[in-house]
Amino acid sequence: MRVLLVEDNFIAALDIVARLEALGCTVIGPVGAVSEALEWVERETFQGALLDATLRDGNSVPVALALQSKGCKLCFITGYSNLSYLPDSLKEVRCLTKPIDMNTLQEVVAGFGAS
Amino acid sequence: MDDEDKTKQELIAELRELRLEVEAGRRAEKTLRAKQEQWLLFSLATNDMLWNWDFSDNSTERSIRFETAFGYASDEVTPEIDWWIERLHPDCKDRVMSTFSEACDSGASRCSYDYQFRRRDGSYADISDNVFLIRDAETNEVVRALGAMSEVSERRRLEAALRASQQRFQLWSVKSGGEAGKASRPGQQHESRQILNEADHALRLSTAIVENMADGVVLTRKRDGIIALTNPRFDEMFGYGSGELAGQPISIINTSDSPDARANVVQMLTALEEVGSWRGEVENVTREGESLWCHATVSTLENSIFGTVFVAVYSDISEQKKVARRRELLTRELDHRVKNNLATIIGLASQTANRSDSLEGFVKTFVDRLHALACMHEALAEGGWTGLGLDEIVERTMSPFASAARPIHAEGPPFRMASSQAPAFGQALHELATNAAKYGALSTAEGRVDISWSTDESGAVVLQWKERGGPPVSASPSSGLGLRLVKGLIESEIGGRATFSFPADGVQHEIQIPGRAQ
Repeated sequence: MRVLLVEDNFIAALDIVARLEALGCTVIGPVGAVSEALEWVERETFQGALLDATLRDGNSVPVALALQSKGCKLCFITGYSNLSYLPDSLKEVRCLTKPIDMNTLQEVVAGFGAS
Repeated sequence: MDDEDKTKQELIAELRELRLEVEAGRRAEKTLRAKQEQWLLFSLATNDMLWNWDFSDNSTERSIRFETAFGYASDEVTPEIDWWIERLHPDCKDRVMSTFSEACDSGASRCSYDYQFRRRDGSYADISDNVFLIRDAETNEVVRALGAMSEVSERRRLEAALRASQQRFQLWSVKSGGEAGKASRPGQQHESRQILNEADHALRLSTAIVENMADGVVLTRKRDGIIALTNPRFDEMFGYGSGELAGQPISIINTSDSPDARANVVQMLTALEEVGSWRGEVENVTREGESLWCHATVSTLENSIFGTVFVAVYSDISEQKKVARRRELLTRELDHRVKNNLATIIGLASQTANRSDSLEGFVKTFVDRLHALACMHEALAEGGWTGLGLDEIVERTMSPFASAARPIHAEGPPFRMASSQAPAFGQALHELATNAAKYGALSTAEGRVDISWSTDESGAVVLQWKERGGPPVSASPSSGLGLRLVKGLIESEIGGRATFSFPADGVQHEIQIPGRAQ
């Protein structure tokens, strides 16, 4: 399963990459910027994506919308308690709080795999 | 002839009777005239407005004072009772009418009430009305009502002034240990001139206080919501000229109609109705249309000039609101940072553990990495999170690796790095230094590290890391976690670029940080 990881905390991202790989995922990333992530979304397809909500060049809403339109399953990761700026179409997307609990991550990946 | 005599005598009797009747009529007329003269004289002799309401034909006679006291022309004062009812203040009408009819029903012979009565110019006079009820001897029903209306505006004003004076005097005597209190001994209270003088002084004092206080004060008439009076601070708070708000509706300072604002107003009016006062926070709007948060204390007051008024004291709390919002934002940001740092620490722990041969090795490397993180955090916190000079980042990060025998050479123009970039940059430098201490120039006594940087006008910076005098560089250790972290931190986290090269006489690395243009 190809999973895109968009996260600008590199050290935390390395850990997530290791966990995702242990769960059998092929991880693209970590990608740390909205602009770079959008390039990836345009070029490739993913079954699932983990998106840090706030990146150094803005929030990841545009990336999420682009992925959603391509049928990719999503999950936000964030250090904030609530993401008030999410548009309605993204309100139902699951949101994990940092630091990420690895059992929960496993659930999310299982959800990416389900059709 | 007998018949004629009889007729004559009857005629004489009739004539006498007729004359008696005429005389009686004349007498009655005289009595009536005398009575009317009396009524006129009485009405002139008193300042009161006299009236006489006859229930049989529902007409009312009113003394001439109605014209002079209230400014009506004589033909404007009509005998219908409605003339009087129509001129009662709407706030008083129901109370007055029910008091009157209760008195009628109860069998009482007198009643009295206070109310406001409209003058010709639309203003209201404060009236005290004393009524005498005349009842039918058999049915005990009221057949007439007579009354004397006296204007009490002036008297009320003096009474209110006196009351205010006494209250302030008591307050003053408490504050000054009773010295001033002695001046108002009961014996002297009857010296009305002195008391009025005191009242005048007290009024001047309270006026001066209201005029100069730091809070805004506004008096609003209850009956129509029109601002009767403001103090200078109130005008200033809302951006109006001094006195400009008087006569305007109080709604001029309301925010545009929102359900929240409306609910707030309803809540305020309900509280004023039920308990006579309200306090709370309100969002208002200045003349320029800007939001102004205020704390308001509102109470109800009876005033002889304006009727029932709401007295409101407003303090500007927009600054507190701003501070609270900033605090909220800061707390949110701090929460975000703590969570991010915890994620970093977990990441460091698991990544370090993957590459460690022993527990001791893990603990040392992990703790060193945490120290580097803590060191940047501390430096940023000292500077109030306004960024950090590159020279300071280098010095703080490298100091655990430097000694008197082997100083670290660092050189470059002043450059200030943003708070968001400094931690990742410091962590990257720490990884380069750790590698040097393990495998490179810092692993030998003779080796040295030179750090230099240059900047361009866009704010971009290029930093060179050069090692010399260490053991010969053999393989490219780029597969190690250290350089992987450097690359990830610089490129993914900051959006810069890290390039490594491994000449045999010492590694040479280059770190580019993009300028503002990117």
